[in-house]
Amino acid sequence: MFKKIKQKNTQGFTLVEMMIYLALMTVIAVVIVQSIVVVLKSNRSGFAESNLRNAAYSAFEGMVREIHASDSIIIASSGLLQLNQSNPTVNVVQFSTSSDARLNLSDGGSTSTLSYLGPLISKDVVVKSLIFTPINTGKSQAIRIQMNLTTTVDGQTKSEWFYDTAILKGSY
Amino acid sequence: MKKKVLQKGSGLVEILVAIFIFSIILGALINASSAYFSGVGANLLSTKAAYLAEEGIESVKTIRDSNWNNISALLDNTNYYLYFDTASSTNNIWKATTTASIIDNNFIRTFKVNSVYRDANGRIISSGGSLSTTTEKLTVSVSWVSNNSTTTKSLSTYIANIL
Repeated sequence: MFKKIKQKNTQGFTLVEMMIYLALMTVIAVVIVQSIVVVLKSNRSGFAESNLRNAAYSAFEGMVREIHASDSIIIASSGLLQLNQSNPTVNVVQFSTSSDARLNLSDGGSTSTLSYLGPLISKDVVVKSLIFTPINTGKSQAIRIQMNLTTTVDGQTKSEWFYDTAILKGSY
Repeated sequence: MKKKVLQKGSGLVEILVAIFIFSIILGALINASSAYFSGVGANLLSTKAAYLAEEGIESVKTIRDSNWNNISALLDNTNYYLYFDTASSTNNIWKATTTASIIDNNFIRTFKVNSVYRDANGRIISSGGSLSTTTEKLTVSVSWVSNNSTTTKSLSTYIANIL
């Protein structure tokens, strides 16, 4: 390309040719810049959505696995779930939302001796709402989970509701 | 052609053709990347749908746990919707209904049961055999609209009168 332009210089362009050329370049440059802006914007929202997806996955896989492994419900309310498990060392598993909207996992021998294990989802995503509803069929128990996750990437906020229900397999 | 270009320099028409080809390639690249990023978004909805489907299976199992008659009374191969009954004085419970409902203005979740037939050895077979009164095939379907097209995902399992 560079070589060609040099060659052209020896021949020369007419003014009209140059003007047409510059006009075309301008139009193309504008289109390119606009497209890049669009791509960057969708990149940002794609990043936010992938954050939400990963957080939902971590939260649900963690919670559903523990619910399936449990025998009975101690507490199931907004932002707090405590489950009884017949495990030799760990009898109580707790999922709770903290004041900074994180989802935390704790466990212990009883509800009074719980130790904090850590958060379930990354700090990019906040748990706006987490509602546990107990279900009792008379022969088994289950938990309905409604979870609202919100993330902000470069000023763009995205939030989504996720729903799941899991049966306590030890409750049969 | 190439020799001529080198000797005489490129003309306006040739530059136009070059710019034209260049912008087509650039346009294709930009299209591809934006398609990729919108695909990431579609992925979020399909994750949500996967959990809705999982919830569908589990909630029909809770309906089964309440009473097997709740399941055997359902019409074969008929779409039912799930609703969460919180009005009941004693318990919150999932129930089956024929009243359509849309979750979050986008997702439609239905389930249906189909008869199961077993051969003389008790194996489930697709045709012939005798009707099993204690087993049903459960299919949960979740459909949603994304990028102006409707996607449907289904999960299937067998449920049995185990209680």
